[in-house]
Amino acid sequence: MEEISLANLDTNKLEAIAQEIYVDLIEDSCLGFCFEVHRAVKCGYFYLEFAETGSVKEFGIQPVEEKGACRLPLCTLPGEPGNGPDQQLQRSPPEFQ
Amino acid sequence: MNKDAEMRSAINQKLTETGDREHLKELRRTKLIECGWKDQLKAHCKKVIIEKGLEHATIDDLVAEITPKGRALVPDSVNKELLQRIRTFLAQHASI
Repeated sequence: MEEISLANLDTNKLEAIAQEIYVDLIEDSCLGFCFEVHRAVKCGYFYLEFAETGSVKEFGIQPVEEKGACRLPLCTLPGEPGNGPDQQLQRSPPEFQ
Repeated sequence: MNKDAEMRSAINQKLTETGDREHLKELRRTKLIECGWKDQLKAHCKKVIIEKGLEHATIDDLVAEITPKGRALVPDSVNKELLQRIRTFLAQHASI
């Protein structure tokens, strides 16, 4: 393949190439973030990973403690606290299962 | 393929072959976390998800709402540093 020389390019063209590479890097970050969020929402852990402040109530999810359920963060079934291992773990709200 | 497209393709290949693309991505990742970009975007994300509703947020909604904000939130300092590294790469690989 014929060797390509960047030395012969004018400054504007080189700068345009640098800008394209930069834009590609930033778009990659933004899109990657969107996919992470989407996955977190669909798998049911958005409020754990992305909403560090505030409460799950903001997302229309009833906090586990209010249901009187097991205190393990992934358990959402009602019952006495400490029922633990015998209960089926539910990571996502029912609509995502 | 015209000369411009050939050149862009060669540059991108070189970026990947030399490992510089990965270094740039790592630098970008570090800088964006350090400057709070990720935290600001998370806060914006939370607003978007609450508005759309947890069950109704589609990937298209997220891309439409988050991407422009993400681009706008990149600080000038990060912008300058990344561009400088890219220019250095281009100067070091004058012949591809």
